[in-house]
Amino acid sequence: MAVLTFTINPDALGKLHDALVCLGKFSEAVCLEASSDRLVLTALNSSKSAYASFTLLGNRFFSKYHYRPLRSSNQAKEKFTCKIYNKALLSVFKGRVADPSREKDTAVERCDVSVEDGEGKTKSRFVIKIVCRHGVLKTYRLTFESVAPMHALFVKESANNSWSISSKTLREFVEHFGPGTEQLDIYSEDGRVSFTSYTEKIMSGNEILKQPLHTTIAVDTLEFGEFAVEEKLHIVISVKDFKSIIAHAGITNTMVKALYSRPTSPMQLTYSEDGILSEFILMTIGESRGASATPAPNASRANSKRPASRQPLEAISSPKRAATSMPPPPTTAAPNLGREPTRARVSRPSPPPPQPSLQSEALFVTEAEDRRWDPTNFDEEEDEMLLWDTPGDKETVTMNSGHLQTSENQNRSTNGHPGLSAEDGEQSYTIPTQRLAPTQNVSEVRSSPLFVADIILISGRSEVCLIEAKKPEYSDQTTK
Amino acid sequence: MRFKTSVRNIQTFSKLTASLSSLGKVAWVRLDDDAVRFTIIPETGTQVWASLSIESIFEDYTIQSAAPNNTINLELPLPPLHRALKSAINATSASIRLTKKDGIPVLSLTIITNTMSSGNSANGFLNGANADPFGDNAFREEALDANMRDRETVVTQDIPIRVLTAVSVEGIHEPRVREPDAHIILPSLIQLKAISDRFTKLAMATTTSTKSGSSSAVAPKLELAANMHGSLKLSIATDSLNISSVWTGLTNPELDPGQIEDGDLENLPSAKLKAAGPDAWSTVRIDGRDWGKVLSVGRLGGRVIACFADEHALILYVYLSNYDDGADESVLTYYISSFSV
Repeated sequence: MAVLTFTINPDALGKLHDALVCLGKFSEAVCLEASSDRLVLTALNSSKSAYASFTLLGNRFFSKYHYRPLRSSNQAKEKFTCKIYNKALLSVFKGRVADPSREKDTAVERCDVSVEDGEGKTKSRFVIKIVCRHGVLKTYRLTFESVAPMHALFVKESANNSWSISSKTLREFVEHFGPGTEQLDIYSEDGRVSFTSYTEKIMSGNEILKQPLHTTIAVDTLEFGEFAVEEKLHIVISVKDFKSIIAHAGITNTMVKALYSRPTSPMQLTYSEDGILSEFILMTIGESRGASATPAPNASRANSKRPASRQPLEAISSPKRAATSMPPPPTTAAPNLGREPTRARVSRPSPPPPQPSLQSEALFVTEAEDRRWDPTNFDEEEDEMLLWDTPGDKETVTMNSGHLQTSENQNRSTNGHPGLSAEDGEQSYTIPTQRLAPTQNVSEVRSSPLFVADIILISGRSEVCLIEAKKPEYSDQTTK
Repeated sequence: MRFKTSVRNIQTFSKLTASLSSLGKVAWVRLDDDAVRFTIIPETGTQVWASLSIESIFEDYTIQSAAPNNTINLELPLPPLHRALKSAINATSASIRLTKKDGIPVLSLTIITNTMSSGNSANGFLNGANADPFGDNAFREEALDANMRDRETVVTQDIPIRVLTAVSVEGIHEPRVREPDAHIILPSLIQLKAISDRFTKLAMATTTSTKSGSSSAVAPKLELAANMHGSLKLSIATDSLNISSVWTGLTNPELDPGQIEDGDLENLPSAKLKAAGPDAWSTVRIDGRDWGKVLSVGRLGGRVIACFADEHALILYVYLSNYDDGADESVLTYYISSFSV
């Protein structure tokens, strides 16, 4: 029985995708917390110095939203919580986001999500059904880990500094910041506010030329909707986190509100639009710290040594959730997830590079036109050249690509791990991919509408699948 | 040592840095009383020697140093400069100054943008004030104006640099090339670039498919040839294909007799090639990728004269249009060596 069911329209699907992209910049996993009237998506970065959360209001964001509390023993749980590998979610929504010009034939009409969780025979699955035009239905079943999310605490009462400003203005600021800097200093004096993006890494000799751009933006407090900040207070946050937030906030024109107290206490950034409340809590760096201090080590150090009251981002987990343990999903997902961090490091040597800030054409108007003068990158375009593909051909490919690609995921996950234990194996093989041969009998098509692709993304392994899915050489298509 | 100037033409300066940074990441910049010079000498590939008149990109130019002619030599990373100049595209004004920050020498670019007109729609301040034009607010226009005038955004971009001693740059000279065999004004560079890139791609596709991808690192060589009768020929040959494009009706500029050392125009290699007729070509072989980078100078919209030293080198002179007639010319000189067969 589904614990949670909801339906989102294509417009909201795009917004959900934007939110997931933003969360992905903070952590590999996204935590979901469903209650009767809202769904909260959160991410906490590995050093616990930045926390992102999006609250999707049940009655405003979703076209349908229904939460049916699970009854364990005799007590109904108020909340359902779980953790999902963000890349798995992103890959489901990727390319499905409204781009009417490119994918008009397979435009998404609706997205139904249901979360099944229960003791005994019910499989714990996060099921996403994407209903496209022409009766194409894509079904994705994702596993999840039943854990309570960590929430960062922010005490509004003690935050005596606040300002609010248009997200578009902030985006223009961020566009001035060059790559490579680490910190962002916010400072105000005499009605002027300065945002400085800098790095404290000291370089010498020839290395000096590799020093990133040091950028200061000084604006009038009149740019702000509201500005009540202690004079001459330096507050320093991670410029990368700030860029990640503004990249999302800047998609729409909204007011971003900042609240903070003093260095080494967290800063809160909030904004809202159309049924989504966005909240970010960022650790600020102390003024008196050593020259080479970066936000991440600071925060983790503080976490371990300082008394609880001064922890940078105080984490709490839902009390009820922690005590009553859910039956684990019938895979070995839990141990898998436990190993996830190590896996991640093994399969991908470096963490994903920080996303460059959104480059708006609005600010640099001439750039697009100027770009045709850039040297051609022959390596990148190699694939596109000298093919017989006409635009028409490509459309057909796109129609099926979702199906094909995900089928490969499936094959990959079954074949790629021959040494798996029996129960593991069984889990993977139970739902084979439906591949429709051109001559297939109608009776073989499992269910209406036209065809159904069943996909399992085993969360512990999905990373491997997802990364390798694009390899064109993939040939081993036999399913045991 | 002092250097301070306003940037007169941000667009041109930005396009210049974009063109130059495609060939090398670090430039040697020489500033003095008369000119601004950018030099890029990559380990392999084309050298650029750009000499710009001060007025073409700067105004209110102040320079002062102990060296003769108030020369200052800098080593300047081009990508950060280009990034910094992007911030200035919509600016009201921009100025550059040589200074030190935290002990590190920097070129500090100060960009002032006035946000009078744009307003802050989400702010609500302006909207609220304008909502009732015939009410009391009508008489508060002056106060509003004053507020708006103050709304000025100042962006400071500090580009790390190294100040070079005169001794360290003493030995760097422009390459010497023998008298060219042919000189010709190039056709539209965007056309030339599109066709060159196309040829390079085709050659890469055919060589990689026949040699199963292993030779993709070796960029194909384009053959560029000119005669003294207004023709330019671009061709490429691989094992499996042979293509060429010919432009005709181009101009072979006349040389100024005053510039020739002994005034003997008859014995110049170009005169001999001209006498040999339209079937006599001077040819160079150039790297397709490198050539694409060179042609990115087209964004500056200059007039380009190509000088061919047969089987030896190709020199491009890119003349930029000046702000004032009669001022010193701004010229970018590209030295491209020819590959042997």
